[in-house]
Amino acid sequence: MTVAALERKPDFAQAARDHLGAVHAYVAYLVGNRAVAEDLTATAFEKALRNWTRFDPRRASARTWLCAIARSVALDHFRAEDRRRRREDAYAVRQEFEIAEPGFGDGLSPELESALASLSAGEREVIALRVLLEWDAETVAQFLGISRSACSMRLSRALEKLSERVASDVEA
Amino acid sequence: MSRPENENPKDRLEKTARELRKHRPRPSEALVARIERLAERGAARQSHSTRLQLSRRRLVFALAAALAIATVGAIVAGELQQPSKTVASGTTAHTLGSIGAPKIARLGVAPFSESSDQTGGGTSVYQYAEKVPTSSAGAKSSALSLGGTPTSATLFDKAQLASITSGNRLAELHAILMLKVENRDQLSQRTAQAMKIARSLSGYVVSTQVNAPSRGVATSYLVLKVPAKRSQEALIRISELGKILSQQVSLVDVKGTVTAEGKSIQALKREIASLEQTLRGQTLTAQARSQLQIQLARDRARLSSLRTQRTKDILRGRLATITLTLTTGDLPKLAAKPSRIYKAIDRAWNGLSSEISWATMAIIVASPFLLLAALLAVLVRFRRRREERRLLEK
Repeated sequence: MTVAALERKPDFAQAARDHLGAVHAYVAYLVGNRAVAEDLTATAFEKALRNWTRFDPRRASARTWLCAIARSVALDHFRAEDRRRRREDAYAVRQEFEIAEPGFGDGLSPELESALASLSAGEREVIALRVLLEWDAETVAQFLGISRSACSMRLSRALEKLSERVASDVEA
Repeated sequence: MSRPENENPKDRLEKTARELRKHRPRPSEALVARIERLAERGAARQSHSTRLQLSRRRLVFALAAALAIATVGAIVAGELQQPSKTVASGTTAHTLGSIGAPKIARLGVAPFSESSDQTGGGTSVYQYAEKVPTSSAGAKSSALSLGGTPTSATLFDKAQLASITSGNRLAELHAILMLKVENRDQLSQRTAQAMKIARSLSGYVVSTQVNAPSRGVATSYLVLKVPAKRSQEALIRISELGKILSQQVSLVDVKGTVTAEGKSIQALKREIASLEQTLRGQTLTAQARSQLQIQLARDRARLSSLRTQRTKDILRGRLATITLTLTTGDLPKLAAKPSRIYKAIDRAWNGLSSEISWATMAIIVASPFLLLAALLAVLVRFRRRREERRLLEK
């Protein structure tokens, strides 16, 4: 890393303070559970602190880098959950540990909350990145490792689905 | 949440997005406090990591400096280790003490090598080779120019050649001469003369080949055998046939070999006589007799073989071989003596190319494994992506 890059690199404390909200919102949308999101966000920041020397501001912004770590932590959580479910299915002792707690923000209408919960994690992820964090399509596509058109399509489908479910809930 | 029925889908999506942004999840106080604590830890660690980064930079500089020093050191060491310069033409002499031969002058940049063959009963090999230098500086008699006009400088060559003999000791002498002649007429004339010289000295022509195309360089190749005792005379007379372009004389001592063979023959003779005497006796059993007869037959065959070999070796020592090349062309010009810088660069380049070849070899050896590793990495990545997709689709 060059001296200039080193000078441009923000310190971890500043980055953590600046991007905690964004990372937390992203994780909350990804996992759909507030308590879990809090834990995973904290884990992600701990991991980020451990690996802060590896962060290169020339390759990505601090927010993108932190979100990437958060995504990795969330995926690990999904894997662990998946394994737990399979194990419990095998022994027929499945228990639901996750309490249905509103996880997508205070003040959201129950219809929207419910519609968001019905979406897949991947769909909520793209909504979080494009709508909540307001990242551009190029950055999101790069972040998710997909093409830009695939990203746009995923977003429009997710929003469409969300909108339809909200509408059907309202009608119901 | 209520929605008008005739609402535009785009507006509806925009409204949903606005609502999502407005009610974005906020981290709890506990999480903020936890991250604050982490941030404080991070701030403490930051200064340390900056120092670490800078020290890494220093390390890179130190490595580069070490590499540069090593390169310069290698060049300097190469300069110091280069072989001592050859002595000016005609100024030093080597004595073939072990075979009692006269002195052989070392000329110009001619390599003079000596090796010992322990297997051949102490046979020693002495080689003398010369390519006549282009420059005449400091060498009155080595002034022959490879591409220049013939001079009378062959005098020294003749003298030197004449001194290269084995004396009275049995040794195999092999001289390779390359002479330049004026034209193709002279070539055929001198070829005939060379053959005549060999015959006049009680020698013979082993082979001859004349290659005289209508254009270009004409060459004749001769292999002559002359009695070793008259090899001096033969070399002098043959070298007078043209301008010496190159000469190489090797002397292999065969006296030791012949002596050892003689001793073996004597021992075998004694053994055969003893066996014959035993066989003449009447007390032997049939089995013992047949064994002795077999032994006797073996010894006789070995004796015969040794005698043949000894005769060949004696012949080798008695007859000198002269390989003569007569040509109308010149030897390719010798390259100018390279400068120290050029030699240093050359050595550095040699070192570098050696390293490159090692690296290439390592890559060739490692490439199948690297390919497998890369394939494995791609497979793992693909599997991981698929798994991620599956997890996120839930």
